[in-house]
Amino acid sequence: MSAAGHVTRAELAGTVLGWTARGAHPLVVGNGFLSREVMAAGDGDHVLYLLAGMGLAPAVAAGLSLARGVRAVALEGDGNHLMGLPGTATIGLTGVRLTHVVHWNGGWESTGGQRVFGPGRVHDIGRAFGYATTEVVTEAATLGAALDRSAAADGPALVHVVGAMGDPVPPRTGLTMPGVARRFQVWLRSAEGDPERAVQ
Amino acid sequence: MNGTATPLHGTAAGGTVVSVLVEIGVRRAVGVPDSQLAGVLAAVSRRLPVTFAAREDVAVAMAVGAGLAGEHFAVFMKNAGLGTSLDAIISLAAGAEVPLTLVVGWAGAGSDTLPHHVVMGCRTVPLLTAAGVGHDIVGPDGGDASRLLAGSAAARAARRPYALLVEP
Repeated sequence: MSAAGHVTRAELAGTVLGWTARGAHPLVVGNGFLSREVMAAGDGDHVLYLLAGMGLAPAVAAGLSLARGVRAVALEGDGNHLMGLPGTATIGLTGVRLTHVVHWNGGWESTGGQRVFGPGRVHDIGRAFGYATTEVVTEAATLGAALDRSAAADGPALVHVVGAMGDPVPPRTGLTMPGVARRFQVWLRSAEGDPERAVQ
Repeated sequence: MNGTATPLHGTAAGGTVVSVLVEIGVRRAVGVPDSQLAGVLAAVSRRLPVTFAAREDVAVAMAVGAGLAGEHFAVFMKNAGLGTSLDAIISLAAGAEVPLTLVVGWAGAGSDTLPHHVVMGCRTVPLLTAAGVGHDIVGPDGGDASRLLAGSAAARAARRPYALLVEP
């Protein structure tokens, strides 16, 4: 159910999952409840869940983008984002084609709901580090359009999605890092995941 | 230069490192600059694109992303960066089954006796061993390139991480 002034984790996961699947964008998801939520939203072979490497989802996506020359997408919560700020700096300074989505709910929900920081202005960090575009999304209905605009950016784009604590939590998945990585590699080698093959 | 400065590495080591990286199919080098590796990085940048990262674990993660996409990025760092990138090496890269090729400046070894370097220098080999990272040493004279190439290639074939440890 949609809520005024913020986007639920389920809305975010469903929208990002659908948008990346339609555009054949590789999606790297940080650990924590967001991974569970994307899995619950339907999952996909184009999704890499970082069950290890907290804070590093954007950097993994950046390496993928540099290697392939495609727009990759990273989705992470605010705890991951704060831990991985050197990755955000690197992405901004190198200008890779990346859509970087941060769900800012104001705390570490998966570790017990510790509320440490306020609403945040994470989009300012993107601007400071040289992201091509940054914007804030507070309503689920506008998220798809924001993702569309990010894809047109000439470089990295940061989408700050305002969330809130207390959303229902999907169950833990039975995924393993090697299993997810192998599935993701198969998709990257497929016609859908490899633009060079797709145009042949 | 005992205890007073970090020497820049000469071209012999740079030439060896570049030849190994190119031979095993590295397409890009990504990492954090290090004074110990300045000469090596200068040599690498003449043959490969180089991307600088803000922290070593970011570089490891970028190499993992590239590796999943079928590209081989080498990662360079000072040995102190092994601490900040340990989780990325032993859980992320290992979990994703992406074999890493690391080029590590070995501060606190050989002629480098700065106390704040030695504290890590004397632990570098044990740390690599504990992390399951194979390694060999690139000496100031460049060392045995054929042995280094064999070690790097064997590790990659076995999908294991490997470090070229560049000695002062």
